[in-house]
Amino acid sequence: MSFSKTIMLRNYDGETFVVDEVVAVEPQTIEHMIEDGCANTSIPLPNITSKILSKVIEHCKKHVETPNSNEKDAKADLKSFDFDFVKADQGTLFDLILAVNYLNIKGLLDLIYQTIADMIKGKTPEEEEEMRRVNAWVFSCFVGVTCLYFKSKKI
Amino acid sequence: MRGESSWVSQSLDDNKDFYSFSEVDDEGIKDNSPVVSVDVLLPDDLLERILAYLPIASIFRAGCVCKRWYEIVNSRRFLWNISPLTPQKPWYFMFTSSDEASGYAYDTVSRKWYGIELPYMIKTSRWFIASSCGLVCFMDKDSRRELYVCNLITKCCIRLIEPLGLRFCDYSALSIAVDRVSANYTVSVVKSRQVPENYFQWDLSIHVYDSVTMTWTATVSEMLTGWRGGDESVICNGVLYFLIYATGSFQENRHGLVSYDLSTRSPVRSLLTRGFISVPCSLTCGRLMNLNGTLVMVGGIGKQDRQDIITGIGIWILENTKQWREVARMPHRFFQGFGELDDVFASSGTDDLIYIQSYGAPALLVFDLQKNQWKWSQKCPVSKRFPLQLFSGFCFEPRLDISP
Repeated sequence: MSFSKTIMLRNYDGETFVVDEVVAVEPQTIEHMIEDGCANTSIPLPNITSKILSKVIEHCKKHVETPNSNEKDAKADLKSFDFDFVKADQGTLFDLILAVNYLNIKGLLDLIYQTIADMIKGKTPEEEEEMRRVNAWVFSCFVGVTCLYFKSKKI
Repeated sequence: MRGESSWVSQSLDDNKDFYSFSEVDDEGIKDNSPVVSVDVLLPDDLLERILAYLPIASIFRAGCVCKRWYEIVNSRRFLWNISPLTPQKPWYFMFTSSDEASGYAYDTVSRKWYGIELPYMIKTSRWFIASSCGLVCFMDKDSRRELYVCNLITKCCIRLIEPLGLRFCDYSALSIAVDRVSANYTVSVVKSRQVPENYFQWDLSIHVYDSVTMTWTATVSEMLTGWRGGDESVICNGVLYFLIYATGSFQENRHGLVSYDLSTRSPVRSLLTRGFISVPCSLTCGRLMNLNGTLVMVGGIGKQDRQDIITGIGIWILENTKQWREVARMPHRFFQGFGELDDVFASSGTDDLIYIQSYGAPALLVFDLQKNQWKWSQKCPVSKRFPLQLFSGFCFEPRLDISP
């Protein structure tokens, strides 16, 4: 049996996740916390839910366990894992992006950015506007300030 | 079904010229994915990074969505998020008139033609054109004295100093290679001039420009017997490749390829002996291109007895710096679709796309090297006005983050 150090992560829901250190240091935030000696008991992650944290751990585990070789099979396997990983609903994706941003996991961040960008591309600006309903579309400001106008004819 | 849409934007920022971008032939792709309602307010820095992953055309569309997105996309900081290492799928610019600099650029991602203005000094299609990683190099065909390096998307353009001794030559082959990370670039011109009174002997010289020192160096000057240089060259992984053509009718090989390592500092003698690579067959309209560091050649395969008539168009990859491997041949149904091919066609490519265009018609065929797929582009919004009208073009990678 191999000896490996484990780290405890305590999250928003109060749940504790025990992960191997090698997996836990994938997120740079956690790696820095360990280096700074804040990880004696458990690492608090108060802004991440169990659902999201377990997904993140799953991703980190997979990438740590897959040998870092240039073999076609290993790469294809990872690619297919990543492809399925981001097939979540948009709500989960956005929760994921905030968590992963906090945890600072570069590879996973790039993957999520690309996924969301792929959802945006190919849509008309009107459809994109639907996507971010929170903001107001202020036409009048534009005409005066930036001379930007957009017109489209729908058949 | 969406109709034509266009927008014009003018920036407040004096230092940055926004280009006017009109969409033509807006057939659009039906997007069947559900519309997302995002109540989560993503912080600006995350949104910035997501938008940086979009293809160029989508970035400009994103700037039209709302004030916040407009500000993000047009900020200088936004450019820092664009990874220089991620290539954009190339566009193809087609000149629609030989006497004017008008034309349209085709984007395979959005499958649309865009009206793009070329830099003001490009007034006709009579230019040698080469491109690499977002920069396009132009050299005029008439005097061969004007050389420009431009970013066609940001409209940033500079003129290079005139290379010495470049004026009187019969053939010139232009190439540019840009380093993605440092944005430094190298421009090369292979000049060929017939020795007066002697058809078989040609003077060949290679001139190289370095953007760091901003100077030209004439690195090679040699006289070839039985061969001459032409208009076709490319730089791939620091090596300059150019096509040569037999000047004698007794030669078995009508075409050849020469490689010259640009990092060679010592004077080079006997270019042909050191760097000659034979081509797989007699080619018409042979074109060289750099696809992600691989040297690719596209050409018309001449008939055995009538070499000016082609039986097909083939695509070869150079492997191990010496051997050619044929990776694709244009399927007959596409070959037929060119109609007035007349053995004259242009091709260019970068990243993993090859564009093939007939001179006689505004038809554009796209070959994806990765997927091994052939596809016609959307119909070009220009039709042939008179029988002898010629169309030509070039491909380039649209980038926001690189400047000459």
